[in-house]
Amino acid sequence: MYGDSANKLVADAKRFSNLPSVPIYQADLVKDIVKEINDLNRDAEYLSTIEDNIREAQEEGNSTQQEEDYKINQCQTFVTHLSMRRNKRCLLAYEKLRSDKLIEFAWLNIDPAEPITQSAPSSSSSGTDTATNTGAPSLPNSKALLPQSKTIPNYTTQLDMNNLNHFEQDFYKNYQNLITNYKSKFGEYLDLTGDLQPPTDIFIDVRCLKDGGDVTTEYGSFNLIKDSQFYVRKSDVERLIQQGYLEEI
Amino acid sequence: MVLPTHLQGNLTPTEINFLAENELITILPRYSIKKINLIGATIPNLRAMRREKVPLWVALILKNQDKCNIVPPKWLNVNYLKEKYDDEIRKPTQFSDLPWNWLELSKILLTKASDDLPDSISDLRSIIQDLREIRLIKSRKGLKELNESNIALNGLSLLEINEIRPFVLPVMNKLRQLHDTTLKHDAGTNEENMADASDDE
Repeated sequence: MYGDSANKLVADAKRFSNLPSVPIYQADLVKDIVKEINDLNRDAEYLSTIEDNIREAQEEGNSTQQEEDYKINQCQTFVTHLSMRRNKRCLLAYEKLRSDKLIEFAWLNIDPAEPITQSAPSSSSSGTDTATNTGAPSLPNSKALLPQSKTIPNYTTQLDMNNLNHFEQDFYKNYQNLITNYKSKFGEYLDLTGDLQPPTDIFIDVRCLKDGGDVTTEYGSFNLIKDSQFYVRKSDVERLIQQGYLEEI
Repeated sequence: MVLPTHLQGNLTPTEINFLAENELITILPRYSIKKINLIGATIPNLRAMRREKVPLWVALILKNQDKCNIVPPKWLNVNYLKEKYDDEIRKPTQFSDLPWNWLELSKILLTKASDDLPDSISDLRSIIQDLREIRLIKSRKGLKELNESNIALNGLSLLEINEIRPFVLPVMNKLRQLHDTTLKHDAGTNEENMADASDDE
């Protein structure tokens, strides 16, 4: 029936609505639906030409048969339009959910390339790692993402650019530009993409979760060595915590 | 909306704590500090051993550095709370009037300024826990009376309202929707209302 593939699309949207990542774009399903809409549209056009014919016939002589035909035609047109509208609604719901996730991610201000570089080496470069360190490094590598999703639950924290179709990629880039523009209006005094938790302590203890080399913040530089601990001002390291380098203790 | 869904519509406990920290509280400074103008409040001239009212968060910072003693609010002692507890038991249908922030304030003060409190911490903790439990039971019972038009929450504190909100609001919305659809007369305007209601969710 019409609308079945749209249903599948919505079911998929429901499945990933709570995931912390954006799954791959269902290009095939969407193509099916668009094709279905095109078919329906052709039907609708055909029906409208028939309607014109009936109208003309009606003007010449008013018989009950034509009256009947007219009603049937109206009904068919109506149902066709309803099917199209349902398909449209499902498509829009799907796209809206995805764009919401993209927007959420864009505001979090994590580099989307990061999850890819993290997940990719676990398969490709693990060979070199295991050679030097007997398989241990591949574990922390895959774990490296976990604390990040732990510190900021309920967010979309992972984004694989390859999962987006390129309209979405464009959208994501343009939206990022919008955010940057908007942020620049506030100057350096207000960081709009910062942590949404209310501030509690001024100084906190942080533990380093993965190597990051020398990182210079506005207020000084740290050497991020894995498992080292610092006692620092929270505002200095907020960004690093967001990016998953540090963990608050 | 850009705000992530888990922050929409309801305050998180940390946010409630944050609001509670704006409350003014009396402190007994140990050092003299000049007046400071802040965006939302001013810290008056502090002189040693002179009581002053400052926002709680300032008091906590000073307390952390051992630069002041916090004078506990007058409701934070075992006798007063005991009275309130008896009140709660005597009147099963209403909540006694406690300060709007009593849960957060008492928690903050018990953890961060426990040495300034007049009564023993364990007694205070247990009476607060008792009060909280009896009020929780009452608000649970009150949920049976939920209907589509009104709800009375007199005497409930911010945290307590906040923890029943995610349950109460959807239920009341649903009830209202059902109620609206069952109204047979003026069906035309009803449909419009329905459209509004479904948009709200």
